[in-house]
Amino acid sequence: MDQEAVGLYIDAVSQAIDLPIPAEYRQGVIDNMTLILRQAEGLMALQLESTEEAAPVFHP
Amino acid sequence: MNDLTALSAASLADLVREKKVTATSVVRDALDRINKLDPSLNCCTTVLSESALSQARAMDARLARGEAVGPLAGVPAVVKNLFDVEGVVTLAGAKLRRTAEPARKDAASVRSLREAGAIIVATTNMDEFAYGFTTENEFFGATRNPRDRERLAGGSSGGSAAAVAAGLAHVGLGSDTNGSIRVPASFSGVFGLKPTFGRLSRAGTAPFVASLDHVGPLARSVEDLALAYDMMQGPDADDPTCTTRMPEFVRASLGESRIRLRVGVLGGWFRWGAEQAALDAVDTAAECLGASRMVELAESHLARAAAFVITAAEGGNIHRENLRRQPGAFDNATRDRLLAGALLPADFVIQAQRFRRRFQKAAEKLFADFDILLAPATPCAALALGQQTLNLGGVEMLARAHIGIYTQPLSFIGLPVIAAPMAKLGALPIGVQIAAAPWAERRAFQAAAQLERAGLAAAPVAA
Repeated sequence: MDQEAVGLYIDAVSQAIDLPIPAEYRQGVIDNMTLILRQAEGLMALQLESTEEAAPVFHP
Repeated sequence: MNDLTALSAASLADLVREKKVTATSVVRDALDRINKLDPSLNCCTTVLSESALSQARAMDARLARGEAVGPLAGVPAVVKNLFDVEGVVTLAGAKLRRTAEPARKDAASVRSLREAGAIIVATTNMDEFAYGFTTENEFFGATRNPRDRERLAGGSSGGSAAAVAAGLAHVGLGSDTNGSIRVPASFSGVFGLKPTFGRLSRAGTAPFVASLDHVGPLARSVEDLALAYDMMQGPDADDPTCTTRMPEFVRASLGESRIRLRVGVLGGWFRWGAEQAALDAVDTAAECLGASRMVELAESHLARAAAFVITAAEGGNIHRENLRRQPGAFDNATRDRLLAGALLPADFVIQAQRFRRRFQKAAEKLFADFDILLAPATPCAALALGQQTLNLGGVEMLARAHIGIYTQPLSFIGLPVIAAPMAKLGALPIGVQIAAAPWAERRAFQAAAQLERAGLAAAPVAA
């Protein structure tokens, strides 16, 4: 995971959606975003069928 | 410890109903124990001495008039501080909420317990906004494990679990989004139930992740867990996810010893990284329950990842305004995760939600052949206070992010799960997850009762 790219993404999106990240928290947010993205790699690589939909209200 | 503390909730309520002991003396006893032990354990955020004694006296007066009282008559209960309790600020573990107005009415579950006769003696400590597995709260302190005070109680319902383990109350209420009932049940050595998603009303609780939030009870015996659960069931229009199915009471079926459950042991993801003690606990339970074989719940690692993504995103969304206006007011352990979650691309969250259906179908196939699936609740027994990392499969990983690796995939698809505390003499307890098919809590209870009858699962009051 490219931490610099994650940092650039965070800077751009936080500015675009008006969710400022104070400088003292920036590295922590990058670390957490990196962790989430790393966890999600396999999930995002899945080719789900177009018919596999999310449930509006989840009934197990 | 006196005799009242050691009794089960069911037995205690019988004594109160039979007027062999007054509710007032029971509650006074619980409050004395809280005053004595809680300064060192830090389970409670607010001790409700006045209102608890007042309710106990009112109950004794009703009994004196010959009026009927409920099955939890006079039973001291504690409530995680994310449930509304009338007159108390619902802190949800957050400094941010210190200035909030006190709740005007009880949460649905609190109301149900009170109507059954339980008396709320305290609200309890938790990870900030329920985002954590440790109950090491920056503002309200760490809750200590009553079975080893240098160790974590687990979280996020750690205050309730530790209070029940220490005998400060007979029943506790917790919430579980990714394992927040099952993890502290495992670490603190009590029984905990995360019911089927939608089984119990969440109305009047501080939401964290609407897609995954559950509420449930903690107790020191399977019967007490069943009793509390039965009292909490029922539809509630105030919670759109709450089922309209008829309640399916479980207490009466606990003694059905002729039931032959089809039990499997979850392999793969649920064995990877676990310490031997956790695997031994599962294997002991499996042998007792006559488990036939080990089975794979395919893509469990992706289910865990999907739960991780949804949690961060929904948590970030729900706290977005405060993250924007006063990020410095958040606990250091949660703020950066919530901020990252608030910035996640929608694509990730939608993929995680779509995957939920697929994973649900994989579990459904397994439940065609099994009534019960077993797995560790935690990869190890309680960690030390302040412990930052955890060794999983030979790799040092961040403890906070990984304690719930075995609980997350099961709550992701809303399965009912009981965490049953397995203890070897002289060793710390460790929980086994007893998972059943959706809406089949009764099966999980029957399996837990079998383990308890065999003397393998137990939750004595911590000395």
